[in-house]
Amino acid sequence: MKVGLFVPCYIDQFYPNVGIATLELLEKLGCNVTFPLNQTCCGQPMANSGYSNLTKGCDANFVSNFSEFDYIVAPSGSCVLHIKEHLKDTDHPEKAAQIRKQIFELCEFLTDILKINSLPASFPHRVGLHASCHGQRGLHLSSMSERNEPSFSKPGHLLSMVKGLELVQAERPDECCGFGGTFCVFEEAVSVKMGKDRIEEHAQNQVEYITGGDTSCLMHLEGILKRQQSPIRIIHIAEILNSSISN
Amino acid sequence: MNSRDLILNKVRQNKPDLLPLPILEAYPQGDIDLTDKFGNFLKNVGGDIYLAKDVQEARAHLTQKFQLSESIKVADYTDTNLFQQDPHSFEDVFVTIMRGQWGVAENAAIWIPEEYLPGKQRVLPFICQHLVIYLPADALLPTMYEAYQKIGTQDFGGYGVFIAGPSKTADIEQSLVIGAHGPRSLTVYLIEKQQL
Amino acid sequence: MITHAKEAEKFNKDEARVDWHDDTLWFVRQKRDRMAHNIPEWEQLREKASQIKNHTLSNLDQYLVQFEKQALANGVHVHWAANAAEHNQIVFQIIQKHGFRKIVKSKSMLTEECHLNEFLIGQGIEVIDTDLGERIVQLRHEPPSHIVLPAIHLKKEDVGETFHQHLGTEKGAKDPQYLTEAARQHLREKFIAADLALTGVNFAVAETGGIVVCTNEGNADMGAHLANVHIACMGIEKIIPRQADLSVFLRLLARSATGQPITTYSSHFLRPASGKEMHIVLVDNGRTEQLARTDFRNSLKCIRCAACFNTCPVYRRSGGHSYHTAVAGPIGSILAPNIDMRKYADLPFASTLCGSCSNVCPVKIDIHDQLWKWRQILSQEGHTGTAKATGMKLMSAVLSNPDIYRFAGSTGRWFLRHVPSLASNSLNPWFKQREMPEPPKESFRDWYLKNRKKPKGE
Repeated sequence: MKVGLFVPCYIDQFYPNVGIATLELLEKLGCNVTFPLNQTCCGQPMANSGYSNLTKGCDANFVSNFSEFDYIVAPSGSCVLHIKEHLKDTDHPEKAAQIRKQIFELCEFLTDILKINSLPASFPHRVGLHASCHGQRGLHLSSMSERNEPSFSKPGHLLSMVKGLELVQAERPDECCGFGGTFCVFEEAVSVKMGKDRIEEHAQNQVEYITGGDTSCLMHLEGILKRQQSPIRIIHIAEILNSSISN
Repeated sequence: MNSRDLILNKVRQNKPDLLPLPILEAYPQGDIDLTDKFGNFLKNVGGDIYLAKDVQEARAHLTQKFQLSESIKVADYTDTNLFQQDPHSFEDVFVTIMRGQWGVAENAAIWIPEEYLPGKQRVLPFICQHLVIYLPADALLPTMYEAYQKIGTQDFGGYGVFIAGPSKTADIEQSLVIGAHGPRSLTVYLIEKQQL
Repeated sequence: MITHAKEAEKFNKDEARVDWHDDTLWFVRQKRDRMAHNIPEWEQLREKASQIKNHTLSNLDQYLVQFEKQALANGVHVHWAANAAEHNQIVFQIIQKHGFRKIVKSKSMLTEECHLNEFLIGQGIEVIDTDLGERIVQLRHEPPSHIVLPAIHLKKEDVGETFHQHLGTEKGAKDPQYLTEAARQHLREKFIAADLALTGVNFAVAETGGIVVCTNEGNADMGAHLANVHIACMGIEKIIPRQADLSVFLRLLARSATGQPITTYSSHFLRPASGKEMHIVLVDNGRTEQLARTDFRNSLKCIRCAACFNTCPVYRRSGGHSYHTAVAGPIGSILAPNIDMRKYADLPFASTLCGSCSNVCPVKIDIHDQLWKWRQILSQEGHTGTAKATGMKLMSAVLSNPDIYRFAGSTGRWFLRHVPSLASNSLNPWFKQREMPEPPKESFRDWYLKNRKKPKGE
C-alpha cells in the first residue's frame, strides 16, 4: 500500500514531532510511506479568508506532489477536509478528483482503511479529547451532538486501544475551540474566550493531557495553556497512538 | 409597474428550476398509550389533566377547583348570549370553558376550530384568567401529522388554534413564568362518554 | 465603522457576564437536543422540511399568486411591498385611513428589518411591542439581541431596573415572576386600548390563504382579537404550499427554537372576525435578489427558529448586538450581506466555520458553507480591505512555491528562535492572550531527509 504522507505546513514548521509520529505509526502498521519533498500547504488559510482565487498555486503544487499514491494521509482533519472539498486543478482535473477521494485524516485511515483493532501503544495518563470541528462535522469522525444519530467516535475508538490511557469526556463534547484559521487573530477576543472555555472543561476533569487530531486547534489551546501556566499539556493523537514506539 | 408585478416578475426570473414537492407521511410511533403520552406532555407544558365520565362530572370538579360562584364571571360554550358581545367586555372573564376537537399526544396541543369557541369569540381562550377544555378521550392522535390529516382542508371557520398549556414566557433570564398575557392555567378534562 | 470583532471585544470585557450569556443559551441548546433526540424521525423531518421549502422557492411566484387569490376570497386585504419603505408606508396608510393612534405589535422580525417602529413613532403613533422580551428592549431603546429571545442579553436585575423606571415596580425587585406579572398588567391595558394589532407571520399557506402565528405568551392573539384591524406582515419566503405541511414545520419549529414540543399557541388566521378587518403585507426587501444567488438562495428556507444562534459558540460569546443587524447569529450573517455587502462584510467572518449551525438547522440550510462562500464574494468585491488582500497574496506566493516556502520557514523559525519579540509583541493579536509555539530547530522535512533514505533525485 503506497501512502503519501501529507504534513501540513504549520506541522512541518512548528510541530515536526507530529509528522514524525504519524510517519512512524503508519510504517509500524505496514504502510509504505513516502513524504513528497516539495509539498507546502493545502491552501486553506487563503480560502477560508475569502481568497480561494489565490489557492491555484497551492492546488497545482499539491496535485503534482500527491498524484502517485494509493492513499494520502495527513494528521489534520482540517487540511484533509479542505482538500476533499476544494482541491481543483484545471490542468489535471481527473488527478485532483482522484486525490479528493484518496485523502484521509489519520484516524479515519486507521479505522476505515487499515481497520485496526489493536495497537501496541501505551500512554498511562488521564486524557481529554478535543474533537476538532472540521474532523468531526466535516469528515464525520465522530457522531455529532446536534444530530439524532448513533453515538460513535473514531478517535475515541483508537484511544481505547491504548494501554493505560484514561479518556475523560468533556461536558460539551464537540464545542469549537475558537481557532478558526484567521478568526484567531481577527476575532481575538472571542477566539481566546472559546479556547479558555474548552480548557476549563478539561481542567475540571483534571486531565493531564488534551489531545486531538488537529494541530491547529491544539496550537491555539497550547498557546492559552502556556500563558495560564497550566500544567495541562497538549499532545497530538498521532503521538499517543505512536507512544510505545517513540518512548 | 406596481410592486406586486415587480416582485412576481423578479421571482419568476430568479427562481431555480422546479423541484419536486415531497409527499407527507406518517412516522410509526411504536406502541404508545396516547392518553399517557398526552397527559405527560400536558403536565410538562404546565397544564392539568383529569379524566371525567361526562361533562357534568367535569363541571362539578372545576366548580370546586376554581371555587366558582355567581359573582365570578365564566364564559361557557353553552352560553348563546356570547355571540353578540364586544370582545373587550371579556376583560374580566375568570374562566373560559370550551370544547376541543383533537388532542395531539406528542405535544399536548389541542385543536380548537372557530365553532368550538364560546360565542365564536376568538379572544376568549386568551383573555380569561383560567382556561378549561373538554376533550373527548377518544380524540387523541399520535402526532401533528395525524392532526392535520383530520383537520384536512375543510373549512374550520375563520380561525383555528392549537393550544398546548397555559400562556407562558421565559423572556427574563430563561426563567419559566406561567401566565404571561393569557391564561394562568389550563385544565383539560378527558371526557369518557361521547357526548360532546 | 461598527464591526462584529470590535463589538465582541467590548462584550468580552466582562468575562463573568459572557459566561452567563453562554450558559443561558447553551441551556436552550441542550433543551433543543433533548427534544430532537427524542423524535426518532427527526432527521427525516428536517429533510422533509428542507424539500418542501426548496420546492416552494422553485415555484414561489405561483404560490404567491395562489395565496393572494385565496386570501382575497377569504375577505383579507393583500398588499405588496417591494422594500422596507413601501412596507412602512402601507402600514401607516392603513393606520391613517382609520385615524388610529394606538397599535400593539407581536413579534415580527420583518418589521425589525424594516425599522417600522421608529417610522411609526416618528408619525406620532403609539407603538407597543407586546412580546415580553421585546417590550423590555423597547423600554430600554435597544434592538432585540436574539430573534426568539429578544432580551436574552439582559439579567433580571437589568429588567428590574427598567421596569422600576417605566412600570413602577419596586426598586431592586428582580424576581421574574413578579416582573412578568407587572408586564402582564401593563400590557393587558395596552391590548384593551389598542386600535390596531400588528403581527408577524410564521407560515402562510398558499392552499388556504391562511396565516399561522406561533407564540407562547398569547400576545398575538390578544392583540389581533381585540383590535378592530389586524395587519400581518410577512416576507414572501414565508409561504408553504399545503396546510398539511404545517405538520412538518410545527413539529420542528418550537423544538428547535426553545426545546418545547410546540409553542403554546399556533393560531391559524383565515378570515377576519365579523365586522373586523384583516390585512396581509407581502414584502420583498431583497429576498428576490437572494433568490437569484444560486449559492445563497436556500437561506430563504429559514423559519426563524434561532437554533443556529443558540448553538453558535461565537454568538454565545459575543451577544446579538455585536452583529449590528436585525437578524443576528449565523443565519443573519448570511442574510445581511445580501442587503448591504459593505456594511455587513464583517459578518461572514464572525464564525469559525465549525458547522454546528448547519447541523441544528431544522430546514437544513448549509449555513457554514454559505458563510465560506460569502467570504469569497466579499473579498472578490473588495470588501475585506487592502491590507488583508496584500497579506493573502504574499501568503499565497510563499505557499505556492516549495523553495520560497522552505526558505521562509527556516528563516521564520530562525527569527522566532533568536528574536522572539518579532512575533511575541503587542501588535500581534495572537500573543495578547496566548504564547507563540516554540519554534523547533528543524522542520519535519529536515528531519525526514536526515532520518529516511533520500528519495531518488534529491
